[in-house]
Amino acid sequence: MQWWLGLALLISGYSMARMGPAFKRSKLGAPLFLLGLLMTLFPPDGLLAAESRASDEISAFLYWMAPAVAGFYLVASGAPIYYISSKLRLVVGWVLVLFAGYLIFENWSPGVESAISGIAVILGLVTTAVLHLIAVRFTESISSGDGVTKPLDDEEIKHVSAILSSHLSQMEASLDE
Amino acid sequence: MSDFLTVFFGTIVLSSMIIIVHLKAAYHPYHNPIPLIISSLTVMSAGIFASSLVNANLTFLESMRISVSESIIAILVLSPLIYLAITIILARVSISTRQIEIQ
Repeated sequence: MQWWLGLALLISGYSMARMGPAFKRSKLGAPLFLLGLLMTLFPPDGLLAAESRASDEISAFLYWMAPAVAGFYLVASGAPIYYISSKLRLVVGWVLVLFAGYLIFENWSPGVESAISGIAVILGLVTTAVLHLIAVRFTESISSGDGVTKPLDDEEIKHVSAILSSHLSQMEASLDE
Repeated sequence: MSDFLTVFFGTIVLSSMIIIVHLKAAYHPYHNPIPLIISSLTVMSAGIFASSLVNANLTFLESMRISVSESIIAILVLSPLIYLAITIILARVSISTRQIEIQ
């Protein structure tokens, strides 16, 4: 039960963290994710053989996933945005990404069985996605909606204009530097 | 064939579970998750039932635990391909001819 609760907390933590700062709950995302990870990595006795293997696979996955995620984050944040880049972040990020790649290809040995399982996974994901999209379309078709949104009033126009001009002037200042 | 079907139905059950947990954890008042939860529960139940037909010697619960675990293992075996895809995307993003350095 603890192992399954850990998995549920992992997903909950990720979902909450993705909600963004507009929702106070998002602050709980990272701690929940870590708690779920610990519960999944250190399962109690009494797991079925398949669950034990899955737990071991998650541990092996983290071995290369940790440097890969850190590297992806650094590369994405250091990559050029509006022609501005950070070379240090790019270099450190790519070192981590390549290190993760080395760890993967040192240990990864897929066989025919893995390929067949992979096809089953992809078909399962596609089936669920299609069924979910049908459910979303059905839900949207039965909701009445709120009609056309009203245009901004004078106060709102002033507020949006102030935010835009502030951001534009900050961007121009950083380009001048 | 039974291994293939076990992983296939396990993936359907797992992804439906993820959708349900996500809808519950990320609930906000501007969204009505009930129809999606009902549809996901239906798909998940159908997946568990189909999985128990494939593994007829097991109970519903055991069948669900084994098929979802096998699905997790299969997804993790595939994960290096996801790493490869993200790496290619980031390599393309990193290459740019006009750059301004910042400290």
